[in-house]
Amino acid sequence: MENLVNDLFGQFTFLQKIGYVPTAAVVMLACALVVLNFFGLMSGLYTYLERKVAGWTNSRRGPNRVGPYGLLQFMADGVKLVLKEDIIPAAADRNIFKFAPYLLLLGTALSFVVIPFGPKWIISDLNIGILYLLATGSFTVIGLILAGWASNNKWALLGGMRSAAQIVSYEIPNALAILVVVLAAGTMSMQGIIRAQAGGVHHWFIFSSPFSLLAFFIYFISAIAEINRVPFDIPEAESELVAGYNIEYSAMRFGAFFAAEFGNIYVVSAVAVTCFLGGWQLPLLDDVNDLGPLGYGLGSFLSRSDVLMLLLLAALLTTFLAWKALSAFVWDVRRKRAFFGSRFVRYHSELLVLGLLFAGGAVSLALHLPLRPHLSTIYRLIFQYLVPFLVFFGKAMLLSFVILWWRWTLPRLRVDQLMGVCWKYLIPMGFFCLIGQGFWMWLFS
Amino acid sequence: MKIFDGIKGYFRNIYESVTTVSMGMWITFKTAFFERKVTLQYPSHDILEGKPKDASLSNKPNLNPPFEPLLGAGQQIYKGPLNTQLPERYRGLLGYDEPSCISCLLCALNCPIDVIRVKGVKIEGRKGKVPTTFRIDYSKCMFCGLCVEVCPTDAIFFTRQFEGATFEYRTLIREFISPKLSLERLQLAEEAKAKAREKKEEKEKSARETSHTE
Amino acid sequence: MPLTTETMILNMGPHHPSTHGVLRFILRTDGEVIHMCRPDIGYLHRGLEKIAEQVPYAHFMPYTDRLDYLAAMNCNLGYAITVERAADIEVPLRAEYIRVLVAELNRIISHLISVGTFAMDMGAVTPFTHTLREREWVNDLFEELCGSRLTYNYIRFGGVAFDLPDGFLDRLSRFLDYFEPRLKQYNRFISKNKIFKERLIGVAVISTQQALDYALVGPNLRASGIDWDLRRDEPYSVYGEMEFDVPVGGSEFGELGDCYTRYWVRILEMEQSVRIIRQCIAKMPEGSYWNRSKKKLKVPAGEIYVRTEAPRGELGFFLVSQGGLRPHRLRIRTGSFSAMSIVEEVGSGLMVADLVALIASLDVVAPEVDR
Repeated sequence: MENLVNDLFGQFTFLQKIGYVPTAAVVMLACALVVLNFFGLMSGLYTYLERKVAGWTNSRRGPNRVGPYGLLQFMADGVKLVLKEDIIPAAADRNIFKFAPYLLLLGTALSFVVIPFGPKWIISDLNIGILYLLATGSFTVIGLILAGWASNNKWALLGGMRSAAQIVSYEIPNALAILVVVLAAGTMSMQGIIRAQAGGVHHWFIFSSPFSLLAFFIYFISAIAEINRVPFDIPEAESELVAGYNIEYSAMRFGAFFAAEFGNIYVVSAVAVTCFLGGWQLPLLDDVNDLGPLGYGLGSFLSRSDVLMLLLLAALLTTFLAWKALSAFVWDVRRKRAFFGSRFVRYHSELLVLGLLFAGGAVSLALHLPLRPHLSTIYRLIFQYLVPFLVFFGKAMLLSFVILWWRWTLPRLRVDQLMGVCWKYLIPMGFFCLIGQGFWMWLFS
Repeated sequence: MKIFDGIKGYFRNIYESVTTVSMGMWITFKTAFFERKVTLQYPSHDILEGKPKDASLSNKPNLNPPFEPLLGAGQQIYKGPLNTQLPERYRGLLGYDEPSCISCLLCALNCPIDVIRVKGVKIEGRKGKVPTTFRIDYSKCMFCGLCVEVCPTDAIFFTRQFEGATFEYRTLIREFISPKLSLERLQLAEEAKAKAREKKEEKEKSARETSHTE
Repeated sequence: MPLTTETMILNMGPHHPSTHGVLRFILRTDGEVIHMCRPDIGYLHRGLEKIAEQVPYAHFMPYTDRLDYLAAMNCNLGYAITVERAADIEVPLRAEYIRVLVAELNRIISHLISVGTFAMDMGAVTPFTHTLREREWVNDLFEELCGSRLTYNYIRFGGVAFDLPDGFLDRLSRFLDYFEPRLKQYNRFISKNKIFKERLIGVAVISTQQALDYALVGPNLRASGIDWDLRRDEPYSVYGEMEFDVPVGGSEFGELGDCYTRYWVRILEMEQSVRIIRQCIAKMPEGSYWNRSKKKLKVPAGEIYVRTEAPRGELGFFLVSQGGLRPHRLRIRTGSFSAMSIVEEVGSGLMVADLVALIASLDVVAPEVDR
């Protein structure tokens, strides 16, 4: 963010009249707004995804009523939660009860400060970024204990105590796994860790050594435990503790718990992507600059192989969509459906979007000539901001899908077994990884 | 050697966890992406692609009678293909076919919870008795089918309607014979009775007369 | 100041996700460990036994549907056999085969619910919906057979209410062909899952002596190692002509009498039920399905106790008749009730999460406990 402020300050002279501090303040506020909205949107998206994945694994359909494919379902849920009555139990500790969910939310929102979105997109690239993340992660436990205690409900108290024991224990393997990465990267800054993995898929930490591969799994499992997801969701175990720490909450305070939980899924996946999966880098990066007209202005970001892979993916996607459209069309023709009642129009709105995209491409090709002098800027913007973001986001989404997938596959552990997994398996393996990584680096560098 | 067993157990635990968890994940993955979804999206029937189980059923007058909905605010009858997909023996809301009823009271007597109330009178020109009251209290009915089973003329039967939810309890008590018709029938019955009495008296009179003549 | 701890009283239920209906447990716990666990029943008491004294014999049949709504066919069957033996009513052979067929089909779907809710109580929701998916198919078959999906009211004194519809047996065998691989899939999916096994093996062990002392019945009894099944040992209907094994708990899966054995016995019983149904399909005779009498049913004075093997174990009807149109007294003995009574002894010393496993493994259905 300092870079952004400095850039702006250098570029626009009128800002110098206003002064550095007010400019920085305005930029900070704008960034905060963007990130908080992103956080909200992500939580919403995850509620939708969770229910969709739940539906699919249960051989149901999932939400499909509000908006196209039920995509606006989370908005309906959010509106409902806001409009509900906010009940505070008479015997609850009112102030703490009101405050606890926001503490939880705060911890999650603060984590977004150091999560990168692209090579130049990060709110603050702290030099102790990953340590900061570990610190903000601990906000969760305070929020949960306060919520459990203030509710004045025995089930909530049990849930709060369980979460305290669980999260404090699982921070150790979590930190150990991250230490392996820090050891390999030699830095704690998030962008620094990503840059340390440059140069292709075999440089990503997940594949660079067997110890960091193991560390990835340790990190992933302990991170899932830290955000209370199945199979480690004992603080809110619905069949044992009814709802655990949030049993007495209603309306938007309840929503805040869930916003934090779902936001945390993104944080966890993003950190895993940053530390182990090469962040915003494409898998096949090598130093091929000659990309012909396609790669005009791509700079050092894309390689030929990457372009080929993207083209291949696009071709596959197009084939798939065309096949779906064709089958829908055949379905319509066989049943002699009218155009607006047809499957083709009702279920394949994405084809219309694709058509629009193609039209847009044609128009932009036509506009290509007059825009020629600015093309390099446009491409630079696209490939320095948009593409890395999409790459990062896609990787994070894949990992999040695994988290959701586990949620709908596995039973949950008992409290003592949960502790057993942490202290008997993850922590020794974490130390083993740390030492092994040290030896590995001593041997191969 | 105990320590080796312990170590073996330790690694076997890890191995088993990984294999069984991945097996489960594969099954959910398969269900999510390669298997047919079983949901029937009930009010929006366009999702149901299958043919009705018996297309002719919807035209059978006995199974889909002209049966008005229960009188409730915003009541709708469901007329989608689900009705035709229901099996022949489906137990929906009870229906009633007035012309074939003979008021034998068997349905009322066979009901374990007194859902049905029947009264009938004898009039001319119809077999058996004619119902003047036929009331079904849907709020109590448990769809056991004992009444349908015993009805000798199939006057009471199961329809394919299943949407009985209303906003008022009272709308669930249904009178199948309007008060007007009931009154008419009672009058007819009175007339018939009177006529019969007259006839009887006449008969007796004539009998007396004949006996006198004899 | 010395640090003191104290136990707390925890109310589990009546509105608790894992109490399957409306049950309540009063727990005295020290943190998570239960020191005392007392079941409190009666929330679903509807006075079924009293109702039986008020209505004629045939009218009580729909009420037996509500006795154990997950196994309505088995309850119907038990009651029908009781009255038939008391009043000496003949049942045609085809009706007997149909009865065994539907009873075993109902045992399968009842165990499916049991297995599914068990997994759900352990935190895995997906197996539950998968078992319900298979159950829907059987419900469709039952709907086709008798018009109803849950409370069938299908079996009558002297037969069954409807004959099998055309092509029913083909559709049934298609379901069985589909179901057997599915059962294996459940085993791969949940039964063999490491977490699931860790949660259940060696938890809440009911010893053979305890099972006898508390008069456990059905799968719970067999899981404790007692080889006793009324279908084989006191055959009623045409069970005597069927070939099937009675799965008994042993050391090959978990510890004798623990939660996992109780779960596993149910899975094996489903396989055996499939076997019995296949035999029924093969042997299904032609003929009348209902020996219907137009006369009002009067049971001669006397008393009779008939027990049948329902999914939740021995289902007994004790009928006292004084020769009228109605029973003088009808007492119903259900498996869930005795299963409920053992919770107090086995439950103390467990953790809260294990108590959930214990209740789920006993497969208690609240309306059957309270009647």
